Amino acid sequence: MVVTGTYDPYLVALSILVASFASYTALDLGGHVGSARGIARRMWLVAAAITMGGGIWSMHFVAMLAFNMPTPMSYDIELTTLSLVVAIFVTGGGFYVISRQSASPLRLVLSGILMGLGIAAMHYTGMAAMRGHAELSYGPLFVALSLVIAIGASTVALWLAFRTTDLGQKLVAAVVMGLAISGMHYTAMRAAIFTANGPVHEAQVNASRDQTNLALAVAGITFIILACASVASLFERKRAEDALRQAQMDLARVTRLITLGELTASIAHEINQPLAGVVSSGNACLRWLAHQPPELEKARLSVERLIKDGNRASEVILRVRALVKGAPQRKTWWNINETILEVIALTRSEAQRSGVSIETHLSSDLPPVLGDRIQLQQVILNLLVNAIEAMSEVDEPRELLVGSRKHESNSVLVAVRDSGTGLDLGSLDHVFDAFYTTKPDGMGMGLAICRSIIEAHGGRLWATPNDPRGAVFQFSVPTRQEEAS
Amino acid sequence: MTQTVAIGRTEQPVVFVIDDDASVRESVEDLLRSVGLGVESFASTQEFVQSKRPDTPGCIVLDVRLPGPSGLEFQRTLIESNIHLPIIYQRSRRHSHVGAGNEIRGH
Repeated sequence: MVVTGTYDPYLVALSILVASFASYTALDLGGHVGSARGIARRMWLVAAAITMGGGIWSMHFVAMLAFNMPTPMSYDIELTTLSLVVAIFVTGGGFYVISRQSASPLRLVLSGILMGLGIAAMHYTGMAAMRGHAELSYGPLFVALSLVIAIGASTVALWLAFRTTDLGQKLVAAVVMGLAISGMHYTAMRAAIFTANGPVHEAQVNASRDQTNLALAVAGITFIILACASVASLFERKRAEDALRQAQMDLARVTRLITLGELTASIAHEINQPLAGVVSSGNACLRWLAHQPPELEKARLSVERLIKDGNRASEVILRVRALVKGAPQRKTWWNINETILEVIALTRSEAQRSGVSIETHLSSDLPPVLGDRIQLQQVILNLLVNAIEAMSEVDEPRELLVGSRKHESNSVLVAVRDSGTGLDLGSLDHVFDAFYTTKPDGMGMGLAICRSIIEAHGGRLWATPNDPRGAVFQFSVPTRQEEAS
Repeated sequence: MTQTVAIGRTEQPVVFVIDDDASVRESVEDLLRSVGLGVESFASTQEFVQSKRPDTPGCIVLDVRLPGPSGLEFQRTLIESNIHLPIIYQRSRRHSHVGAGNEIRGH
């Protein structure tokens, strides 16, 4: 005689919740596999597989406790354990496939198939572990449908989860994966036909208190384990972000050193000029003192000039040293015009050597900007050096115009305008890409770094053609909010 | 201060210092004055060409790295303008000690 079971609706809801939460955690952990290397990579893979397999298993367990049969049933321990192991290994295979370096549609589908099969394998092995006074058989249509649901929904969930770091989309992916698991389960249960060969009682609609407690305990333990895994994942994400930030800063420093390296002759000249002045003034002072009688007033003027030149040389060295030092990022409020003038002082003789005249149009009433001074100096330096290089090959006039002005209500705009070779429309799209360069010996990192610096400051960096020739590079950085008047 | 005219000492030889860098220009001017020479200084060759100069013997001390027309072009301009002054090229880039390593070009 065919018997039918009934479901406790609360426990069914709990089972779906377990499936979704487990999916979220497993997909989150799986996301680490692709970026990790060596032993860490294996650890993340194992953690994702255990979470996924364990999640499917506890969903199944809770769902079975929600299911009341009119005949007593028990579970075979070995087969039940096997169902957990199968789920872990097959979904682990799914995570392995999708987190290889090159994600492709083929990998996505293969991974989805493995996930779906893992879910189904766990379920049907778990069902085979049932012992009682009922024979179990299946209707092929719903079995097929359960497989289609498991594989289809898994694939969609993986597609959603592995294309984004957006939390909302990851939550949607988790719910879809949760539906893959629970949809597969309840469809497969619809396929199950129990034929009783023992005494049959009226099935209760609600689960017994013992069953409910057991289901709650399983779900509770699962949630605790998942929460621990999520916290571990969060810490790892934080650590990875810190490492990335450090790497970006190191790279910024290296490109800064390269830019400064290109300016070596120019910087040496900037230091040498005042030093030449120091020597001449010192000599002059000695001669004024040697006069009969000594020309003390003139000697004093010579020494004053000598001190001024000494300070000038020392300022150049201080500026260069600040750019060379790998100082930690520090955001302060400061005036961008000062920085523009400092950078121009470093590049002035480079410009002269290339026959470039530098003109500044700096708005005098700019509010202070918030940012790391060294990093923004680097951006301006890079733009100036690029502009000078772009003009070294063209006919005169070689004009470099650096301007600053208020932009919208809460930012400052800095524009570097050159009359150089300019950019064709094709390269306008790519100048900010890493490793894209139009210089024969360029590395193609300078502008990529500049853009990441400006964007990290909440601003924007872009390029447009100049009229009649050359290019304009402009960036905006946020300023102090205007006081409400 | 870019120009100092030695008024009333037209018989005295004058050194014309042309250098765009104020530190170098002013200190060289001071040094030359301290040894008793008359000095006029200019920030560019254009400024020198356009200036009214006393008709006295003298020479030019020129920074070779000046922006604008090169030293040789400047020399040609001088000859065309019938100005016959020897030029001392000053290469401040390689020699921080002013006075060493200068080249004298007369004609």
